[in-house]
Amino acid sequence: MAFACSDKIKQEGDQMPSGLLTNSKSVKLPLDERSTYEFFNFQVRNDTLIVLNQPNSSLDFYNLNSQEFFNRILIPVDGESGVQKLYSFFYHNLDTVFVFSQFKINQIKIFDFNGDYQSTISLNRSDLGTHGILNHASLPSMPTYYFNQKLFFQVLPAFEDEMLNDSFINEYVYDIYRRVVLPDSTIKKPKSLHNTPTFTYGVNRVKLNADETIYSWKHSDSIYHISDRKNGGNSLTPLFFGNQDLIAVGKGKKMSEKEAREIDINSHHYGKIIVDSDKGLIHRVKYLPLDENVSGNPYLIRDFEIITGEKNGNLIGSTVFKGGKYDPRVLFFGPGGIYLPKINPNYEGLVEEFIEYDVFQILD
Amino acid sequence: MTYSRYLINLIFILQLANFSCDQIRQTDQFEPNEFANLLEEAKIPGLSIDRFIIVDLDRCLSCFQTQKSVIQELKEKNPDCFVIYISKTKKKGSILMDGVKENIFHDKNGLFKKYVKESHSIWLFKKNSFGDFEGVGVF
Repeated sequence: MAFACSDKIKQEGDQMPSGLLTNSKSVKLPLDERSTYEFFNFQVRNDTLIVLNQPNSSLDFYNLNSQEFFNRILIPVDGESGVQKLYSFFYHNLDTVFVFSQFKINQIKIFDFNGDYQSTISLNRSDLGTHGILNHASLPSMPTYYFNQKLFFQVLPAFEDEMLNDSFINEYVYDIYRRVVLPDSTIKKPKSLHNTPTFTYGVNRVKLNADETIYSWKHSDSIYHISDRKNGGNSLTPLFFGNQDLIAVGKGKKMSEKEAREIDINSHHYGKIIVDSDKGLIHRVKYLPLDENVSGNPYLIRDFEIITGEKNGNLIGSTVFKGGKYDPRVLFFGPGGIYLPKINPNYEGLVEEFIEYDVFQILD
Repeated sequence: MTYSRYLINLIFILQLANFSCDQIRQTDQFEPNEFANLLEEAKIPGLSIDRFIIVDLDRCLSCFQTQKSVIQELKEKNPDCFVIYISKTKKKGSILMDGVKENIFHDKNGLFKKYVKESHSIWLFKKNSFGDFEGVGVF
């Protein structure tokens, strides 16, 4: 008994983060019989967490303060309002919730908060112009946004040559009233990653409004802040939050899959960025290297760090977390701090009745 | 990307979609003793079951709707077919089967994962005339 208790205390102690951020509270959201803890695609609006519930084909609404489930929009699979391969969404307001099929930007369905189907936005081939297939990506690390009657969405390279293309266009703007899709060159690949293998590809971006974007690359220390575009400028401010411990990715594009995986796992690289607009802070996930090759998803095994800095580029500090408890790919900023979900498959306390977040903040 | 490239890409993706989702193709016979041992380990009464479906619900996020529709169709044609679903969460299986609890096994630890290979997330196994199971289709 004594051994068991000591081991448990030691184990929990080992898992406590060390550094700038402090665990201020936990938030527990109930899961009904139609919901799993896989909160992988979501949006936060004030104190509301909206979750894409793919198995149930619905959008589920939770209040993060009262910790209650309070609304569900059911998305039909078939018929005029049906969405096959439900993939992502963007909540604009009570009347307009955009719902997207997997990888498609055409046939966007619009529902209201009550779940009533409103309309379909169709995109014809001619609307695409010469831009070819748009491999629409809409994930928490690269969400689709709606500002000024335009949808801002990222695309993923569909083929290896596109991944290797240093001029690949990562973002497009869909003006849904003018029915035109235009490339947006906001996101650029840093020169340090030019002519490097495909495993270095990976972009995270946050749009604060139509003219202000913050983005970063998986294998680059810099964070880029772009603003003031509407005034004719395209001011690019690289913010440096790294400590130059990224591996120097060798030039040249040929690398075996095994070699690329080994380098990827055994080196630092960056993940999602989240923004605290009120305090002007940027938090960035950094994955720490594993010493050995492992099977399974390395993002769920490796330790990680959250690096915190100001929008002007000043580094404030960082916090190291042990792997195996949280899923750092789907953290978010919400009321009271940074929400880290305890949904790692290796977490012993994982249950199906609720999802629990540990909330971290900087103590004054 | 030029218009011709667009067309080539579109055809390629349509072909992929067709092969991976809609067509059933023959699969290789596998080691029956190993499969029988796994059934025993999972306490599934293999002797009394003629057909199995093995489905990996965690393989891809947006596949669930398709998987559910295929499983329901197969179950309608073969009501006695036993479903083994691989998933970290039990609820996904409950939603998949609309609450039906008979002839279903939740493979939480991926015991049968080796049988769901390549890019296919649903495999169908049938007992042959020798009493051994063999793979007869993928989706």
